Amino acid sequence: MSGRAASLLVGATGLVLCAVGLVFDPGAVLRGWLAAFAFWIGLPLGALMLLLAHDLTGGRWGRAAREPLRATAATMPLLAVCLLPILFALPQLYPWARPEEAANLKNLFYLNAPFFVGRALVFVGLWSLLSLVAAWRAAAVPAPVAVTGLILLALTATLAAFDWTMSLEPDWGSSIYGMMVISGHLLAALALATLVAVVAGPAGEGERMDLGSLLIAGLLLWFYLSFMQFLIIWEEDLPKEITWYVARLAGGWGWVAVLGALGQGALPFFALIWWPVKRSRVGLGTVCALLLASHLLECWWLVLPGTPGGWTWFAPAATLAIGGFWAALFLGRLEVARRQSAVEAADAAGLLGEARHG
Amino acid sequence: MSRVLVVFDSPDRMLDALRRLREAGFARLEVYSPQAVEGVDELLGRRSRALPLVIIAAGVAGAVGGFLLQYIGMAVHYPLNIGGRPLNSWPAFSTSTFELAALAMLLVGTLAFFALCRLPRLYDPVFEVPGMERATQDRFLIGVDLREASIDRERLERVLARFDGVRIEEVPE
Repeated sequence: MSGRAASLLVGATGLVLCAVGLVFDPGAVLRGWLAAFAFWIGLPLGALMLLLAHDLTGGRWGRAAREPLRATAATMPLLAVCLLPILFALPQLYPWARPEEAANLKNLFYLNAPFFVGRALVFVGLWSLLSLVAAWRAAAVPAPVAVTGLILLALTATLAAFDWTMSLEPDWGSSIYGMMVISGHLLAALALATLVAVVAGPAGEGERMDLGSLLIAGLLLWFYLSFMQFLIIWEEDLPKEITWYVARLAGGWGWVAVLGALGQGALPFFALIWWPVKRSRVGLGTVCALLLASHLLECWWLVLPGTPGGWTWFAPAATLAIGGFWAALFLGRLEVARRQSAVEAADAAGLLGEARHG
Repeated sequence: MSRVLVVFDSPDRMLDALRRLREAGFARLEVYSPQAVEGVDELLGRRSRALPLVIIAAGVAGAVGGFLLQYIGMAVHYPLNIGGRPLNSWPAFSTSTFELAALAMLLVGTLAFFALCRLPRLYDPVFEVPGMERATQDRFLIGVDLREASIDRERLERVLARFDGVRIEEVPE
């Protein structure tokens, strides 16, 4: 069985599990779906940012990472479809969409169903357009498009993080939150691209060193932003703000937070500053797999403790459902990206040959 | 014991001669060159493994010391209840702990680098050799210690016979 067929089978199984669950416990399925969506949307979003940044600046790391990044960014339209169930179930997920709980909220001018749905459609519409321009076509995008796209991505991804996950607790707010979530997206997308480049790509030792160094930069950024939010809120210790961390550090979630800080912070950092790990295929691939697994845990940790009911087994089920279809599309696009760059390389060689003869 | 300097005008010839001198059994060698020449460190056996370890040790010492400095001050000697937070406020200590670790690594690393390079050193007898100053411009020099002067001198000349136009200069005692 090919990789794509297996992925589709996994996706279909997850989807059936979620559909069955919808009959018995729709709330659990929906919050699990949101937790899974928070993970998967980060991959194409982060890949799109990295791709546009590479179009602007270039660099040797792109030689190995561009194809997987393009295939990742090309999955954006699929994630846009996966957002729809959330938009149809706002009252089940978000307290501000339930009139009895929203009565004493002061930010309803921003958090209300029509505006929320409108914003969400603008975000995924814009991102899908950028994905079609930058990832479905083979050519690099011109600089003005890349610059505009990056600015728009930074703004819309910040607002999307505020909307989709931060507003689960509508009393709570943190201005660093959007940046923190975006840094997680970037790190996950880079880890995935590096993993694919190392396992199945042409990443030489130089490219591996560059990607390893970029991963260090990404995880330092993520760790810094996450820790600063924690440090400021912990220092203030105000009832309105600390509740977010109380829910996320009590009981089992506290251990998830420790695992996340280790798996997405300390462990890969100390592994990557040691040269032999950065140089070796196995070492770098293991670090990337650890980063991705920890990022998945982080996304569940950001969403689930903030919802009434907390942990649900529908989170892994929904992660498999979206992930299966996502992987099938990703593998298909990866093949296309490989073919396109092979054609380009052949063209370049042909042109060189003609120039030499002519 | 006496020292001589062998003067070359290209890095490749110098490297070749250095390899042959090593093979001939000359152990106490030194290279003076206007730029870093790839391969010299390996031939001289000077790839230092000590510096990274020294810097890691300094970082650990700085982190432990930085944390203890705050812990002993805040929790042992001057315990103050600040807003109900625990005396051992490790999240608040963490930034200073990190800064002190970085400071220790930089300071100790810089000093250890100087010590390993045997710097600062204001005088060396090789400065008296005529033409030595061109080691900072366009000449590549190998310093050789001759233990039993006459025998070693003969061996040295035999090794260098294949390189024409090479000058051998005595370093004054």
